[in-house]
Amino acid sequence: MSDNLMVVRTSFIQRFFQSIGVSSFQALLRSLIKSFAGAGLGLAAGLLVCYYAGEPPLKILKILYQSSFGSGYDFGMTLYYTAPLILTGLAVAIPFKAGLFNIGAEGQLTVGALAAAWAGVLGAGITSPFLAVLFAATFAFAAGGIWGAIPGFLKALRGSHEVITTIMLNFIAAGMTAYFTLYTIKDPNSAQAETIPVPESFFLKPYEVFNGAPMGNLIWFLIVLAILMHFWIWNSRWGYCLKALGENERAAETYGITKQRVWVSSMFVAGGLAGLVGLVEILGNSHKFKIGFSADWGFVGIAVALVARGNILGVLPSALLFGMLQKGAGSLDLETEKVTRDLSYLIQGLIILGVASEGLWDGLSRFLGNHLKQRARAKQTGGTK
Amino acid sequence: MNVIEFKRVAKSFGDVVANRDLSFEVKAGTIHGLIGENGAGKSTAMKVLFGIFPADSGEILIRKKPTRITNPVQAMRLGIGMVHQHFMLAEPETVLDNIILGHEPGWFPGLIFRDKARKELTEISKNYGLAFDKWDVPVSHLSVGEQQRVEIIKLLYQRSDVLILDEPTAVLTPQEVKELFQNLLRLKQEGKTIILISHKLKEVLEFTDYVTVMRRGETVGTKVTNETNEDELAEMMVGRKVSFTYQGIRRILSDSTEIPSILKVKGLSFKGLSESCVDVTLNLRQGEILGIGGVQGNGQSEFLRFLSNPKEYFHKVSGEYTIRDQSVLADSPLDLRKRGVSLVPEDRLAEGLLLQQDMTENFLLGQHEDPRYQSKFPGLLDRDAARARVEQNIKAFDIRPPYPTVWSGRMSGGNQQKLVIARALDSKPEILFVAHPTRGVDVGAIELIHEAIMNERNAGRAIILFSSELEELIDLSDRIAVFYGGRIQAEFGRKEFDPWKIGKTMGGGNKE
Amino acid sequence: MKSNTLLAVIVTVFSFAASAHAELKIGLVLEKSGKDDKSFNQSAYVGLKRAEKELGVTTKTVEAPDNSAYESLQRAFAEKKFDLIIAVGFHQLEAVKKNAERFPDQKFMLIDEDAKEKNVRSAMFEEHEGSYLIGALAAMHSKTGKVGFIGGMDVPLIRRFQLGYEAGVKKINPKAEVFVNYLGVTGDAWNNPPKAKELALDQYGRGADIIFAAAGNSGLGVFDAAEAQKKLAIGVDSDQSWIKPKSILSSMLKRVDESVFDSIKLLKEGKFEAGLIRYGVKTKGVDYAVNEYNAKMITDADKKKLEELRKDIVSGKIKVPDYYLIKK
Repeated sequence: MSDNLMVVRTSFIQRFFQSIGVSSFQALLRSLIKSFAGAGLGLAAGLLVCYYAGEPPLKILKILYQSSFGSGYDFGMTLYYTAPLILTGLAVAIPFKAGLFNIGAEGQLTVGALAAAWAGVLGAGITSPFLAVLFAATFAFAAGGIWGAIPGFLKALRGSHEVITTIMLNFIAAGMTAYFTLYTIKDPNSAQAETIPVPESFFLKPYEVFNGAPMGNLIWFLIVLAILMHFWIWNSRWGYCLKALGENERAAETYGITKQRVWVSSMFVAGGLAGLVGLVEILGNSHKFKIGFSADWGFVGIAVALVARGNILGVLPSALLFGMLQKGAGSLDLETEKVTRDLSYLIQGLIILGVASEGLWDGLSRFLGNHLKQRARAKQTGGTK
Repeated sequence: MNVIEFKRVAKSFGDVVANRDLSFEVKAGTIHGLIGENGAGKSTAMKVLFGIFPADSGEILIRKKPTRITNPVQAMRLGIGMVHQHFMLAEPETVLDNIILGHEPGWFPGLIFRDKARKELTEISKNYGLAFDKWDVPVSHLSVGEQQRVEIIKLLYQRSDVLILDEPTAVLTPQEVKELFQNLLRLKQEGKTIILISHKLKEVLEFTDYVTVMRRGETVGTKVTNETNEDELAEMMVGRKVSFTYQGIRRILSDSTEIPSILKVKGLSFKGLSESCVDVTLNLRQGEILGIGGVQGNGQSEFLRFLSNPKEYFHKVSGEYTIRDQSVLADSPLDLRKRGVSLVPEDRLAEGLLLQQDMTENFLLGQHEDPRYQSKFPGLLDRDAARARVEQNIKAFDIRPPYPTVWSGRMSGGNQQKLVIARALDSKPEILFVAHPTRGVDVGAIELIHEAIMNERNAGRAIILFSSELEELIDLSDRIAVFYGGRIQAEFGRKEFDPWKIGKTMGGGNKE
Repeated sequence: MKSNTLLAVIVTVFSFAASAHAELKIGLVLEKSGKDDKSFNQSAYVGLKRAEKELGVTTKTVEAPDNSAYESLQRAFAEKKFDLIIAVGFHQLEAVKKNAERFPDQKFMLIDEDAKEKNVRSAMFEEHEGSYLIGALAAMHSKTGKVGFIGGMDVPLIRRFQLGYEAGVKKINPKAEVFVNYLGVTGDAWNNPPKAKELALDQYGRGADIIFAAAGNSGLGVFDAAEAQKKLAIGVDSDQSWIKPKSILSSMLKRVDESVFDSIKLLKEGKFEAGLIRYGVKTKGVDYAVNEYNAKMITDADKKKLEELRKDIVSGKIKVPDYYLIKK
């Protein structure tokens, strides 16, 4: 039976792919094609709905394209929506490797963002932009991380299920940050519920080419961060423990992996990454913490991780897809008569469904495969006759 | 009449071909053995028949009619039933509920007429001479042999005429095995057809009418059992001559009592989740194999878990556990590893393997802190080094398919076990806990695994061997301790080894 | 034949385009809560639709998908050269400011905040004044001398309602007691009728007989409680009496629709002016509601007293405390 297998030689390229966690180039390609085909299928279904609502599909596609990449500003805004989703996508995907379902990215990012804003208040004297940003980033990561580690601890100590505790902590985070915003570091010059703005040295400068969209060097940082996380998960001892525990808890324990330690540490890292959304929002965009600033990024992050199929690197394209859709939601409402905001959410949902319904895809490809095989066989037997 | 016919059936998983060309027939009212080495594709063949996997090509005839079975429900409707190697029972539920699941009697939706079922089951049990009446006991309270009987009654209740049994004797005591086969012969008399997947040639020769041998995904041939013998079948299976027993294999160290004990357990008592240990005292010397026997559920499993992870039991244990005279009661599995302890766990699927990871990843499990597999960059693992070791081990243990990138979940049971054993031996441990090393593994691999364990013994390692197969314990051990009710019921030196005597103590009897 | 139809289509399209060119184009950017929020955004939308009908302007409404989308949506309108862009809600302040600088010739209107840009007409409502009248009305109708206030999210804007209301109550009955509760500190507070009902039942239980709900959608819960306890409630923003005619004494009107309609009308007449426009009790931009349902409840004497108060506020004789100013 073994003769049938392709002989696996480790070429340089293969070793590269193995080092980033993809067993082979084909495997990467296969998974990419699956995801994109799924997105295409979902989009097609969405366009069909639009067609029946009275908007030509081509127009919708054009609007989506224009809205995402039509101008420097549009692209900048798309990246602005993508950036938090990269972070929250990672915050969901990483604990998922260890078998934890982090629904608390929303709370973690809220706490992290408040910490970033607070860092601006505390570090008002820091004039070096580099140090200022580093200071804020450390605050945001630590605060989000601690918030994320709490469910990890609760699970380790008491066995509380992380889904329940993270949901609860989302509420607590919302209440707590609102309290601090309104009573502790409230901006006295504003009638709105927002904190004192961070000093100018904390600002992340947007690129000129984005023509006003709040995105700059940060996007490169996030891309590198995602790649590094991927590399680290796949090559480090820590990442190994995560994967082993996520796949077979009993085996991991039997072979000396302390699950409590992995739970706490993976949730800490996840929470920290979610907390870095504070950089995007506070330092990059509004320069202050506003109650309710997040466009549900923590929850969309779950969908981002889902579409990425748990692949850390896959979070990047997946986040971009959701960034485009979020940006497009307003544009579709604006540019068409029939497609309202709700209908564009429907399209979003269909795309997620298309990508996520892995079983559907496998079934379809198996069906097609069998069909083709049978046809080939029919041809063969026909030929021999 | 042929009740089942395979015609050139093939099935592969991705690149791995499990069945290449299967052709054989099963006559109605017979016991038909299906034997072959691990990875030969026996289980896959039966799962194809049972509708769990669809066949890629070929034809299956059921009662002379070409039939395409696409799911188990359809198979059951065709009168085909299967007892899997791992029982498919809901343990907290009663026997009755387990049996009627999916076929609840009663005409009103939501109402189950349990009395009717109970009556029917008593009937079945009487008709087939199965001597079973614990209908309202939770399955978890039953012994393994009884659970197996429940599985069989379930098939009878579903009116199956063809019963597939996958390695049914792997988990039974000799007494239970005897009972099982008496039952199977009775079922045959009542007109049922039985397909028996096994690797134990003795059983197959004793109880079947026909036997089909498989090798590497193909059927080698079908024999009338009366007209063949052990040697011929073994040769068909493996493709070469095989030796069967280790009696008389070189034992470099004799039963010397002068060698000091490296591992000691004294007065150990604790209450575990399902089993307990009561006042267990054991000594293990270098260069010996201490066999631990007993019927499943008598404390051995929990004892092994304690031995390999004492820290987990730290707060509820009394007694002593020392290695080289140092107490290890607070040790974690990794601490023990540093003391030179290595483990082949009881259940390789549940405790030993990451099924969706390749051999290299699996090889690193437990060795992820081993300095040999650390990269120069702090925190990173050196997978190249691990892969190189895996490749060496693939050769040494003849693991198939021979590629480190194959998912362990796609390997056959025997090859998985070889991988687990290779991993356990990789760190050159001084103390080795080996549990059920050949469960669900067949002749060719058994030979190799036994040889590996013997070699370790002869190299001076101290080994505790847990096994439910008495034959294996007798073949390999220098001493055997039998667990019953959480206690050590009896201990036998090599000269005292006698299957019936040991079997008696396994059932709670006294040694003399 | 085919080409003829095509030609006809082209001609129609062009003629439409030509006529559209003559019309004013008004873009409306609503908050996340959207045009069906039974309150503020809906009110702006109603004003816009009225303008469309009565003034013959072309309108386009867009609901922001999130709080970061305002800038790009306003910008899209500006790039399409809309004649006026109306941004509803204080969340849009910064976006309006940025866009007003980027497009100095573009006319903007911002509701509920002051953008202080020379091409922005900022409409602010003196909620405290309206709440003062409502407070006075409540005190006049309270038999127990205890009234309640239930706020949505605890933000300065709602504090402004509360402060004015309390002052109004005390003006009529200095001994009156005012119970105050807020639903929460998150956006959910605007949309939590069950919790609002719980709070209202509690306040009624403590003796209040009239509760003023400044809580968006959550107010529905207060109305439910009023109906169940056979007590009274007061609505907010739009005239809400129709929801529970027998239980709603009045509503604190905030005529966002009027301000939108007025601004478009001025634009059409060429009299549009930028700068801060305050809608107080003077212009009846904030007011108490009198309608067919509560006509029997609000007597002529009540109205007379309220009109006196209105006069005093306008003349400056009564200074209604303003939370915004106090905080500064």
